[in-house]
Amino acid sequence: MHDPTRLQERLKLLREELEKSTKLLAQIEEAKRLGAELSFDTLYLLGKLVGKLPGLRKEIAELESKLWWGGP
Amino acid sequence: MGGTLTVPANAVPKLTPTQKQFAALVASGLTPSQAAAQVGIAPRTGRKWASKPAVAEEIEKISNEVTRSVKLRLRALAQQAAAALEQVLIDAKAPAGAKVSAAKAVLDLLLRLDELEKLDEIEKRLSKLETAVCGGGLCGSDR
Repeated sequence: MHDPTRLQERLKLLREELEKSTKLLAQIEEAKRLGAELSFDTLYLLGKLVGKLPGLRKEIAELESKLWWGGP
Repeated sequence: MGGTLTVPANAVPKLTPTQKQFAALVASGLTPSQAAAQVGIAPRTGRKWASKPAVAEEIEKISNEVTRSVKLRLRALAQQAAAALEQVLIDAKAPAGAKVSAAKAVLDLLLRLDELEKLDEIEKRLSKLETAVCGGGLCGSDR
């Protein structure tokens, strides 16, 4: 059996991470739409986001495995 | 019953090794005439091959593989690019120069790739998990 509190906590953290990423992408889209050049800070954050995506997907897959299939 | 074998209409005819080599060269960016010269056939034959469905399919297949490997490489480079930017951002005296330009170019390229669109897919999967664990609302939220 998995601990429901721990699962909820993990999901909450994932949701926060996802919201940050979505917000960053929306800012980038808006900047591009306005024809503005992206700042170094934004590009740095984008690089970090791209680097984080595989980990995010892995974590989701692990939770799916736990919930749908009773995996480890 | 006759003894003849019929080839299904959708069967892809096998390519000769020369045709495969020709397809690889076109997929790498050569024109059909240039690729023809490389494999030792007439330019006209090259142009004819390029319009053959089986050869065109092979060119597309190789192009897709190349795109995929470029995407993987870019993903790995993105982290190095971010690190390069981090160095410059932290150290005010660091020479920006070519290093930052390269990092910027890599990240700009990434923007055009579809990797980031996968956030939608992650969002859907996360919502399903939240529904299962927290009964509809967002986990750990009063919203």
